[in-house]
Amino acid sequence: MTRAAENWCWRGHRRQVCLALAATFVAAWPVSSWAQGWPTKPVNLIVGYGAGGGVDQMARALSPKASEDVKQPFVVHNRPGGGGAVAAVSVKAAPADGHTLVLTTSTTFTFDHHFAKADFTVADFRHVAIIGQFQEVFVSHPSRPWKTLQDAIADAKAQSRDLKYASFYQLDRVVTALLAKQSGVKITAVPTQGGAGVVNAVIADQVDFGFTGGTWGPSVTSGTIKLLASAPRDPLKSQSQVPTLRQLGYDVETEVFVTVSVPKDTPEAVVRKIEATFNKAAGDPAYAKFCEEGLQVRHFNLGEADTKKALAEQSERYAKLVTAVGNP
Amino acid sequence: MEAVIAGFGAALTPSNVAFVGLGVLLGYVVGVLPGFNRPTALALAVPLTFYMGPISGIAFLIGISKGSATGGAVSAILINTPGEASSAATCLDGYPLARKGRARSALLIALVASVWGDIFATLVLIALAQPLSRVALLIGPVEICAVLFFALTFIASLSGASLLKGLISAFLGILLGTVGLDAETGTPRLTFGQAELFDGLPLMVIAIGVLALSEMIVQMEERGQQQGTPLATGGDRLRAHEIRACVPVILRSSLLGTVLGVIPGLGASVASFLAYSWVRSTSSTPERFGQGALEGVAAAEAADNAVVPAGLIPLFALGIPGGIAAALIIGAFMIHGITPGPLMFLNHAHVLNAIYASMLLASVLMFAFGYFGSGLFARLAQLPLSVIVASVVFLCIVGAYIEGGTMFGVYLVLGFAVLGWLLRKFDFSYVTFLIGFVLTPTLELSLRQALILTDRNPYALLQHPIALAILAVTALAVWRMASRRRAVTGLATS
Amino acid sequence: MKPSDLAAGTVLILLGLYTLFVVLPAQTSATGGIGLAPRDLPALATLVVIGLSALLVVQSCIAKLPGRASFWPASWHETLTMFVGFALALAATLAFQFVGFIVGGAVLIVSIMLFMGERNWLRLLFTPTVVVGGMYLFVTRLLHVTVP
Repeated sequence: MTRAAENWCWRGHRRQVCLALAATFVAAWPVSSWAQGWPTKPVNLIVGYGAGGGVDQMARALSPKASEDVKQPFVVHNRPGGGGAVAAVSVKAAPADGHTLVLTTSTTFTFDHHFAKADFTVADFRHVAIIGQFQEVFVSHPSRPWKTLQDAIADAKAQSRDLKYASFYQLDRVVTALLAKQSGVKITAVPTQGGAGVVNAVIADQVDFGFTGGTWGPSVTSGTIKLLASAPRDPLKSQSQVPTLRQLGYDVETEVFVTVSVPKDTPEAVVRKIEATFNKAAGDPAYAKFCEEGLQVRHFNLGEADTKKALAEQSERYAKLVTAVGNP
Repeated sequence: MEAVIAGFGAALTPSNVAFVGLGVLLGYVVGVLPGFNRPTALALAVPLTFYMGPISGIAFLIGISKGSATGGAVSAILINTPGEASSAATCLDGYPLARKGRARSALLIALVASVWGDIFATLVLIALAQPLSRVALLIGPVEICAVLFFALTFIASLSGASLLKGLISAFLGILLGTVGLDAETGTPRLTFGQAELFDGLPLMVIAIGVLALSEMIVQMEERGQQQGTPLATGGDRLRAHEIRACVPVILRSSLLGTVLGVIPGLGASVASFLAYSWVRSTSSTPERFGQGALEGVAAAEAADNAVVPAGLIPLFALGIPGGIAAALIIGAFMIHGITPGPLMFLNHAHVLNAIYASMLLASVLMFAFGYFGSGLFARLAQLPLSVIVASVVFLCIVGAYIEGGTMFGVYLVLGFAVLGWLLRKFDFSYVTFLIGFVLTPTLELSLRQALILTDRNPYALLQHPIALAILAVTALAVWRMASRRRAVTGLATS
Repeated sequence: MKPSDLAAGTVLILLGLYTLFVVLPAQTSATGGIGLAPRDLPALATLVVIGLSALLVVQSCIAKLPGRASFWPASWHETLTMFVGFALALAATLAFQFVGFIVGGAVLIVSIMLFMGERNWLRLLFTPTVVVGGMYLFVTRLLHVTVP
């Protein structure tokens, strides 16, 4: 381009750039809220996991409906780290006016503290809603000659060898530790990076089996991995023929909810409004469909009373599990 | 064959072109701005794709990914601040070029390398997705470990004048790379009680501190000269022989980026650093690198752009997301009722062809936007130094705040700026420091996996011929480098 | 080699020993993990740093010293610049945290430009307005990130 042409472009585009900026100014000016009380400004949803993960996607699926309902934007911020601990800590310290909420897995409050010192406890928050439950499964490469996890364990016992499985967090290690104890077979965890790392290791047939929370849907449908067992108490919604650990005779189950929580000093009236908003948003059939078909997450819609009870029971159950296994 | 043509037909509808173009443009802007990165942009964009059809929606997201890989070079070259983590290697030679007044040439070469790397990897995806992914499955932790050990040998060649100091920097980087929650036990390491460090020191914050902020402090030494040296001069033109010299570099780096991109978990930063290191250490004039060698920019950019389509290969062929970006794109697939994986080629072949065509379209649009953008940005670089330095310091702080999530990120970036300054003044290589830091998490994880899978049995290596081959090449490379150094010092003392 | 290498090497050795014997035991656990213990890799890296720094110290003592040599490699001008630059950035950061984004940003930009010798009033006014204002709008409206 010649010098003159370049100058012309720059000048011409300066005009366009200014126009674009002006348009953005106008379009982005916030519409003031005429609602009384909560919320009076954008609500921050602090998600305890990275962008793209199951919890994050659920938050992003809910926020448009919630925003529509209360006429204020619900903005998702990702603050991953420590299995939701970083997000929880930052929300605990946030002003208790209902404009900062934490969306994370229930294990952040009920399980992780057995393994890592946390600057918060489950009592530092009011847990307002449960919007889903992950369905953890055991998967293996289709070429393995097992139909269920029990077959795998029996096989290993017969051959006197240990089993290696792809693991990605502390919960699965505790579960397999109990399985090992109950069956007498050594089960070694191979650490991987997240649920996707587990699926990758299993598809590549590098391990005997893997444990994953949510990323198994597409791979199972395509047939690149197969399901050996499911870990929660109730059978999988989409694949109810897959046995649960309890059905196979093992005295263990996992339960990982996705919870919405606020600092404990949040005023009662605000808490009720938040609960109502989330219950309405989570009650939307499109959201339910997204959870079950898109994410293989069991859809839930619980209010504060039920959530509190569920979390208390979960804490107790996990405490018993950890003692039974004997903290490694 | 008609299926392919039908795919192009579907891709070239005005609305699809508009969506793809919008995606690429958005991605480009995201890439240029440090602090706003690809995963965030994709996460924000996925819900938008609800309103687009499957072809446009997925092409839109892929456009964002591609655009951001190209845009990241702009701030890397102009202000030594990588716009995306994968552009950190581009700073190494890109910024010195800008300092010499050759910002425009650097930007153009970066663009050409980016687009070429991207097109190459896209073609590989289209032609070889299924067979390649089967090969990728053979690459397990043992092989990845071998590759990374090989990568460490590059550190020797990147050390500059003092191998000893280069190694020290590298191991300092490795030490800092271990900060965070331990992958295996979940216990915190070197986190000093700070929950923000649980995920490790953020690469972007370190890069901004060590590369950009410390550089700006050094720039402040030129104060008092009223105009300072602008970063681009009007008379800067890319010469034909320079482009010719870059061609083999671009080809090699695109190939390397594609290969590394197919292996899930390695990431674009590793790929671009490796490509840069490879080109630099095998160059006949390695001393030019770090001072402004166009080949360095070309290598880093070709590789980092090739990783994006290559990372989609395991996704398309097997349904495995190779990284965060791919994981988000899975979400978009699922929303539109398509299950990524082998069945996709059977059940949704027409959609797939249209997506392929859209991807190539995105590459073309990327070149167009990039060409215009580099002209625009090169002019920005002609502002007086005081304006540039002040604005960049401000951008660094804001970027660190956004990346770190809280003020903690800002304090970190200030600390790393001081570290970067010390490294420069004491003549320690910050390049090897960054490489040590970037490689450590993957290296340690794969080393652990390898040790567990092989039960620490060295004979198990015999079952991994690929790994053995790579280790043999490593040994060869070390021997060659040692004899080269001996020859050089021999010449120096004689 | 330069005496600055001697200084750098010595400091690194001291820091390395401190890390190895004080920081690592406090901040990492030596057990756990079947593949590698959490402390293994950081300890190894620290050991290598100590070892290589010792070599550096030896090398810097043996080699011939050039004419102008000092333990601190930067000139007075450079060091002063670093301190002032860092102080300005730190002050601005504190302003960010306790006063606000816009004030902190404006203070930062204006002070750096003044430090750099800028005397053109128009530029001093224009730059912070455009840069800080632009980033503020971008960050709060588009990214919805809360800023102080």
